[in-house]
Amino acid sequence: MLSSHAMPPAARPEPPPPGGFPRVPTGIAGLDTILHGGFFRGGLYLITGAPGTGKTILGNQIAVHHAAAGGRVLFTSLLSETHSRMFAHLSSLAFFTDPAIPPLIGDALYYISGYSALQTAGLPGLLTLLQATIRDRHTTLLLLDGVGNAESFATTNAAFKEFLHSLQQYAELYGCTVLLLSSRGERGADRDAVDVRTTVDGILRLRQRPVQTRIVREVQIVKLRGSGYLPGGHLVVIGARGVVVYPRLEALQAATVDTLTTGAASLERLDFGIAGLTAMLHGGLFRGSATALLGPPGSGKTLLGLHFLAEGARRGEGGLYFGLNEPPPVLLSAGDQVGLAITHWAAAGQIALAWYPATAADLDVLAQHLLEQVRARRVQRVFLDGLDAFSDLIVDAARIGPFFAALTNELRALGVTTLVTVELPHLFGPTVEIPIEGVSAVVENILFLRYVELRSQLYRLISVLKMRRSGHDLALRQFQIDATGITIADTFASAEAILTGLARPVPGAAGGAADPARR
Amino acid sequence: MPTILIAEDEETILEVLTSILEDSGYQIRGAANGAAALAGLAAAPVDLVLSDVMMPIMDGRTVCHQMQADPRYQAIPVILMSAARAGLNLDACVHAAFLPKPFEVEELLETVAQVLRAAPRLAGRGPDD
Repeated sequence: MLSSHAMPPAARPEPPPPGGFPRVPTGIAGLDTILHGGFFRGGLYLITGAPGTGKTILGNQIAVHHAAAGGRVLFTSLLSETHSRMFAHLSSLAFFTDPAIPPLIGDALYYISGYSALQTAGLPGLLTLLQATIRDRHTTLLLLDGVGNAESFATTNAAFKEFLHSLQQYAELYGCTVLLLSSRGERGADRDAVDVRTTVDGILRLRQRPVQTRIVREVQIVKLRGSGYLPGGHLVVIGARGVVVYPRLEALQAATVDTLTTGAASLERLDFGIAGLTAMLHGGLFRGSATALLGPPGSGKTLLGLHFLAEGARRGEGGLYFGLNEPPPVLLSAGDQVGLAITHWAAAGQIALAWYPATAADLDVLAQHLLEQVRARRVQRVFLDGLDAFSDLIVDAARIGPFFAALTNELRALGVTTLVTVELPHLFGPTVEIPIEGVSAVVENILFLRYVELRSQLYRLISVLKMRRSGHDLALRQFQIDATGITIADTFASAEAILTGLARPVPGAAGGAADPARR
Repeated sequence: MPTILIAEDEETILEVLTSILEDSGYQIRGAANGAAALAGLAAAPVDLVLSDVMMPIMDGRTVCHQMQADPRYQAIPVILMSAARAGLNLDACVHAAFLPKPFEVEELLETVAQVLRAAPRLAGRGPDD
């Protein structure tokens, strides 16, 4: 399973085959995971992306890591941006301002311009300069920024390919890995670009696109000769730490599927601390299972989830609330008002509250934060509040099902019992539709909360729609929320058509014991 | 007029420095790397070397060392400049001043003028010649 900060088995650095080349890690954890450990020493790689996608920052971050790890870097610019201006832009990033870095600049981390050589003597002149500097400075990592400018000096496509080939052969002899940074596409993105796909050993494509009010950045491995890699686009966030890459959870899990299939499912049951509900579930939820709480707004889903966490806290099981809807003060107040003592359990460290404003979140970032907190706190119960709010963060709708399947699988592998709330858009109505595709297949259990209107009063009902590996109460039961929390009452047998929310009294049932009108 | 040799691999910076110093009355010769700078010194004398530190082929520190080792060039003052402001080890380089990039025109001109005033007269020419 993925349950550590170490890379999953299938994504860990593959040991070099006999006679093979060792890996050169980028130092960016998520990117090294995607690359199955990093580049190969002596290889030639293209990092391509439109202006503003972060190539120079990425290149510098890789360079700094390499130098700090004992390598020797030559960063050669073919761009008009001066090194002092580039340094000024990098000075806000933690990886560049680390106190260990300045002493490396000018020695293990060396910056030059190749534009003069290119202008004076074209590609041959640039090649001579690079070869001499690789040799004289014992360079183990060469970055060539703005390689599209070099391409402009090529008289033919073949000449540029020959330049790259000569550079790579020379660099390989000196054990030097070469990264080319280019705004020109490897071919597909830019018709003017020379097709270098067959020349380079690997291609990383950076891209960014507007999504509603945000800019979403991604990195995709287009090619990686000699190695597997995690396919598809993976989220890139550029912030104070520099470049952070978040591998898609479902891609990570696909690489480790074998490790998820071992071991027997737990038969231990966990309950909510609500007697009637425990009985409905024939003892409670299986440990490690995932349960969806469906219901319209205000139906009690969040309180039910807090009950679950509070009961776990009473039993010494760590719990985590993770949501986008309710900030912690609101949750604490809501829980305390019904006697769940959430404030007490939070202060004792038994329940952690993690809330993120929905406007400032990326789904892959949230997933990583969630899993990091689960591992760090050794949490056993997770309450994920507002699955609909999370699904709104998904950029590509096709990811919804696979993403949530991967998330629940990972939580299950960590031994976590998970509740997720799913808000149904309508308070009443003849149809019940789960608004998030694929959820019902992913969760083992589904509890359904809703209102029913009867004789001008609203009543709350709860029912178990699904429970895998166990029988369950098929009855619809009324529940109440008061100062003691949620209590499950009798069934609502006197009404029919209840699940539509438009209950009608059963003919002849008026005055019966189960008739709520008698209360 | 004092002659200044500028060793700078970033072409844009070389052009800008050349323009500014020429406008201030200096004669300028340029070199794209340290080896070209030493070749330029051998070709004709200069009054001052203004050199970047990080350059291909030969860096600014090596230029300083080579000049100090050659009696022909020992008296020529060197101003080093670099975008690497902190942590650059220049202790073993004999240099008259250091200009951290980016610098402003006034700082450049004042530093050049100060170094030339303090330098011994060379080939009969002084800083104000």
